[in-house]
Formats: sequence, C-alpha cells, structure tokens
Amino acid sequence: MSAPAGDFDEFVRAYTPTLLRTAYLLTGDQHHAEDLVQSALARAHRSWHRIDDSPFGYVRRTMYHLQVATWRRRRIREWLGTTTTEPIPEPDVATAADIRLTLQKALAQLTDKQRAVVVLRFYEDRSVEDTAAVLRCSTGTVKSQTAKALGKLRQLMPSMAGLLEGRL
Amino acid sequence: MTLRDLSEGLRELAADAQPVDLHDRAIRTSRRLRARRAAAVMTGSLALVLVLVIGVSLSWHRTSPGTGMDAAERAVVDATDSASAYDDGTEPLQVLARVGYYVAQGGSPDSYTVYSWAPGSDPRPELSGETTFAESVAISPDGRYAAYYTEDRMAVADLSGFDPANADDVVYQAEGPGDSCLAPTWTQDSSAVVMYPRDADTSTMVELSGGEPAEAELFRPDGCDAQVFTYGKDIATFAFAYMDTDGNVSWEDAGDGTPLTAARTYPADDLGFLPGRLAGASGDGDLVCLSETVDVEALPARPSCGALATPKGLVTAALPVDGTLTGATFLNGMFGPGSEASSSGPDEGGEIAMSFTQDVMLRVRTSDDGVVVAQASYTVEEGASEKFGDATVVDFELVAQTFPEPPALADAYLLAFAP
Repeated sequence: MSAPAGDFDEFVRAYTPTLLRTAYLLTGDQHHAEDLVQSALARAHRSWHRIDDSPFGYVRRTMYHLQVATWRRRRIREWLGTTTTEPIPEPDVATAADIRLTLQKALAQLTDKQRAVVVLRFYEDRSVEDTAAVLRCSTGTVKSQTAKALGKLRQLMPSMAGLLEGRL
Repeated sequence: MTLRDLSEGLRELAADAQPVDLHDRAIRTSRRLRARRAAAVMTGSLALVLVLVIGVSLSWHRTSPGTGMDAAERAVVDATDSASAYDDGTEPLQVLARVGYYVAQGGSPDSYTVYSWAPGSDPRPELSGETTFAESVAISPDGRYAAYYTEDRMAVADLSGFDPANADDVVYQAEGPGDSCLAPTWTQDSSAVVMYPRDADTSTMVELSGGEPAEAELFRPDGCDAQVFTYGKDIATFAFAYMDTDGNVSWEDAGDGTPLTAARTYPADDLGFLPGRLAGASGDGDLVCLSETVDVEALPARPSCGALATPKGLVTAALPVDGTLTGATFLNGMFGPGSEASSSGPDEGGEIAMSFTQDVMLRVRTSDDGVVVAQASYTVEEGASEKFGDATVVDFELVAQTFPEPPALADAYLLAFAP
C-alpha cells in the first residue's frame, strides 16, 4: 500500500524531531543535522508515491545511507578539522554537561561508519544484524567497526576504559 | 564508563538537537533535485547526439536513448520478450570466458592487487591500490581496461602492457572521488564506462573508442542503489536497474529514466535478502542480484548475490528445469573459502564441473522457457544427449575456471571473465 501523498506534511511534522536527534549524533552539528534530515526528506518526497508501509524506516535508512555512503566526508571533515588520538581532557568532577561535551568531541574523532555503528548500536539499541542491514554491510563489518569505535573512544576518553568489556 | 553509560550519554547528547520545521526546505530540495535531474537529462541527450554526430560506430543501432525516440521503439527488456529479442541482434547472454580477473589482498590490510589468470598460467598482477580501489575496480569485458576510484579521483587504466610507472597507461582520470557504493560499469563492447562522482546528482559516461576519451553526463537514480547494464552493446543502451528499500525493482533507461519494463516487487525481507540494494546486474540487465550480507571483511562494500530476479519474476529456480538448455553463463559472484570450479570449453571436450559453496550463479537458457538460473554443484557434458535435470543440453557458451590458490585467495573477489 503506497503512502498517500498528502500525508507527507503530517509525516514531516511528526518525525522530524526524532530524525534530527539521530542526525545530530551522526553529524555532531545542528546545521549539518538539519541538512542531512532535509536531504533524506527531499528524497522521500520525490519517491513518496512508491514508499510502502513505513515512511519513517525509509527516511531513516536514507539518512544513514546519505551520511555513510554518499554525502558524507567533505562536510564532516570540514567540521571535524584535524583528527587526533590524543586523550580529550576530562574534568575531574564531571557534570552531565561536561560528559556530553567530552562525548561529542570523542564522537567527532570517529569515522563516518564508526559513528553510524555507534549510533545504531548504542543509541537506537539495534542488534548487529539490524545495524548491518541498515548500513548494507556484513555483520562482521559491524562488529569490527564497533570494536574499532569503542577502542578509539576508550583511547580518547580514558574514563571509558570499561567499554570493551561489554557486548560488541 | 560502561556501555549503558554510553547509551545514556548518547541520548542526552541527542537531546541537544533543536527541533526545526524542515518541511518547506525538504520540498524545495526535492524540486531542485528534480530540476537538476531534468537538466542533466538534457545535457546527456545533447552529449549523446554529439557523440553520434562525430561518428562513433552506432550505425547499426536503430534508436538511441535520449534522442527523442519513442520508448516503444527502443530495445526493451520486456516481460513478454523472448531472451533474444533485442533489436540490435545481440544475444542477451553475456559472454564471459577464459581469463578470470580477481582482487586479492596482499602485503598490508589496505593493499589489494588485481590479478588476471588463465588456465595453465600463473596469476599475473595487473594493478594495485588501496581499499577504495579494490572496492570499485571494474574490468572491461574485453579485458583491456580497468576503471576504478581512489580517495581523490576516478580513473581508467589501459591494462595492455600496464606499467604503474607510466602515467600514459592511465587513459582517463577525473578529479574527485567516485561514489563508494557505485562501482564503474562497462558497456558490453568495452567502448564506454559509467562512473559516479561522489557528490553529484548525475553519473559520468566516459567513451573510450573514439580516440581521446569523451565525457557526458547521464541521469542518475537516487541513492546508491543503481546497477548499470547495457541492453545492447554500447553507450547508446545504458540503463539502470535498482531496488528501493521496499523491494521494488525498476529497470530504467539511463538517458532519460524511461522505464524499460514494469517494475517488479520482491518481498526481499520475507525471502531473506536485503531490500534497498541490488548486488549486481548481468551485463544485459536481464538478471539482477538480490543482496545478502556475507562476512567478507576485506571487501565489505560489495554484497553477495543471494538470489536473482528478472523482469519476468524471481528466478531462484532450482534444477531440474523444463526445456532444452541452450546456453550457460556465470555471473560474477563472491567466492568464499572452499569454492572451486573447473571447466573446459566446448573446444576442449565440453565439460563444466563446478563445486561452489556459495554465491555463484550459473545462468542457463532453455529453448522453450527463456532464462532460468540455478545455484548448483554439478557436472554437465556437452552434447545433445546429456541430461541436465529433466532438460537436454544442446550447447553451452560459457564456463567457469579453476582459481589458483594464492594465500589470500579466500578474500578474493571475482571481477570478471573476459575472452
């Protein structure tokens, strides 16, 4: 069953905040997150008559694909600047805001695919198989990217030393 | 910090995103994309006309996409066509033979080499590159060229006497990386290749048969899901096949996006395959591969072919088949550890012997039922009396080859067979 064209407006209003939160984690920046969601919504608009059942799933997948596969590197690298493996200074007594800021800086040091894997696995709480399906890669790739991402986060944030002790 | 802490930290960080109404911006972007696509189609059409005018050998073609001819006049991959109904007289069977090309990892995790290999000879390294190169390199059907991407350019190298130190062997290059999810695709006559700049809404066709390489822009479907094929031999017949995330497979002319045949929907999820991306398409577009994931770390960007589909429907047909087999063609596939194949052509006794553990498709054709496909491990003897399931083999055109066994072959990816 195709999604009625008239529902696009309603869909955008209902789901944009959710999509923006994910995009914010993927890009690390409000404006880039808006651009990413906007691009995904635009493609959904063009294909709206062909989208069956789950427009949210379609837009979400499109967003990841745009971020990871096609649209990604230039803007992210502009924003990231030079990457580093030096530990990010962490305050002795961290507030929630401090932790967010440190985490944001650490995420920025990950590659696009590593960041996408982290967001899918630990923000959306997706399984390895689901993550592989969204990113169109093998489960082995998801596992290796997860391990690399967590290893890098641990390197950047010594307080995350326990990260690799959990599931991959 | 534990993984739970990480999850909570991510949720708190995500909450920093400010809600914004993106409706109008999305609509404007959508319209702009449509306009750019229309402009690209016009540009591509003009380029094709120019190519025709300067005398590229297209005279045997009745029509050309993008030149205003009615779609009904074009050669089409039609559900009602027989397998040999193309208007240029070419057979839809893609001819692959004799020399195999594969990519194997070597030296370091980011180092790959394309080898060519023929029975009775040692594998010959052709050219090497890093991961981006390995994930994109495509050998022309005649074995002469390799088109590939690197991190900062798209290029075509002439493999005849290729010398990495000789820049002249790179016959074409363009600044800017290619799209990692769309490898270059060759015409069946090796006269042109389509490549995909990473940050563009169009694809780039590079025509090589007329001396200096000539570029032209072509329509490009959304996303990175398109597979390119040629329904005739050359640049006039480029077309796209792609699957959207809901399992709808479309076959569209690359010149203007005109559907070549009705779209088909495959319930990929139910069948256990990944919707949203085709793993490949045969050179003539008559068969497309549905994707499934495999644990091949070395080359993760290329999913393996899990089942085949045609405009006629899903054809994961298992033998036996009804009818008389008249041809057989291997499609490119992922060779996993333990895979092996051996063969000899019709002039060498006519035996096909194969034992594949995964993802290798044999394409066979029967005299009364068009194309069927099987994933199989079996032996076929050439000759009218040989039974192949319930069918009789009268001929086959194509064979697989036994691969040598260099140490890294388990991670090798078969690129193509060439005459």
